[in-house]
Amino acid sequence: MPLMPSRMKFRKSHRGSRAGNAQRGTRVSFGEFGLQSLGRAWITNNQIEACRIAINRYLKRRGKVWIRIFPHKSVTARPPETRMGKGKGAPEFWVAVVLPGTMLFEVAGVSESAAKEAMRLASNKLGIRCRFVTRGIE
Amino acid sequence: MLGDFSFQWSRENGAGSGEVFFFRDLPTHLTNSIIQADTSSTSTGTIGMATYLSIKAQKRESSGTSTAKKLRRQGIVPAVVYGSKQDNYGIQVDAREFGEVLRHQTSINFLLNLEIEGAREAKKLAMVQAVQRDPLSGAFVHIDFHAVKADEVIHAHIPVELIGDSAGVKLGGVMDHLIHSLEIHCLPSDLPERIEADVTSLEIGNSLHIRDLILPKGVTTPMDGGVVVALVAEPRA
Repeated sequence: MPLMPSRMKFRKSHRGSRAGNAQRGTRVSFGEFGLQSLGRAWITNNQIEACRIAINRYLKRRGKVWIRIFPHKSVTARPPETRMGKGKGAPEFWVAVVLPGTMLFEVAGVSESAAKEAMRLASNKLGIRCRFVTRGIE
Repeated sequence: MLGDFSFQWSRENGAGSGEVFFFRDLPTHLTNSIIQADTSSTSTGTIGMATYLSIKAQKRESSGTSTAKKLRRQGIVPAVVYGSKQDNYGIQVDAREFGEVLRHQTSINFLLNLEIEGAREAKKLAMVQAVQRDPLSGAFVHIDFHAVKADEVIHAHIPVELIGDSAGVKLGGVMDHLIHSLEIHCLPSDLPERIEADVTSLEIGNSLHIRDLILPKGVTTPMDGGVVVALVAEPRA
């Protein structure tokens, strides 16, 4: 089941701004290795689920995986063959707003080579450039 | 005395493998700048023979975003020095030189000797309190130096390193490292580089707590002893 909020105060939101770089959630905080975004995008809940499956399949359920982004934002769409007007469309899917620098996924308990390959497979599911990072000094 | 530090440099009052510094990769201009810290007797007794790296800094008169941006473009990092018994003031350090020093550390909280041009107190023992970096380029944005006295207790965050292969992991368990850095209180001369924790005896379902860690002499932690540092979880079905 793809991620989505359990309840929202308002069902539909404005598009908002995607300017600038990420200022928080940019470090490897929980695991040993991470996948960091270098681009900006709306990552859908289905993409996050595809990444999670790709990582877990490659690691054969070994290690531990953290998903550092959550699709808080609803995206609406109009039904096909509908004329303009009659209000905003219905919510269709959910997205996470990802800015350059955002840490997307983290893993621990596996070798660096396995983590790197798992992250490569995950990054293929996203439409943005990403890089593999390891935990730095604190 | 400075010439022999190019391979291995250990604190003279250090004990255990956790307090050994390796400087085999340090460039010559840095190894030559290693200086001996104050070893004189103080009112509270003789402070240890700890030695620290030194880094050159200049007092910074101007402040503000545009000035800081100009400095960063020149390869200089704006920084600040503060302490409990002194006024705060801005300084600037060379980004490349600081990067070389930081590259050989295991923790952000390490001690060094600041040689500040233009300051009333030219040499100052300071702990790197915080380093702000650009999340994308990794370039230094700002550094906080905390001026410390050799006989005053300091608070620092030291990395906890797990040593050995756990028995539980060999049976298929997953090592979950929960506390990566430990808050400690100690004198500057006792500041360890890292805390090592032996996990070879941990079975599946066992956990290592803060009370199980062997802290070096003179080092205490304010954290609760029951906090789990690492545990070996059962493999996922």
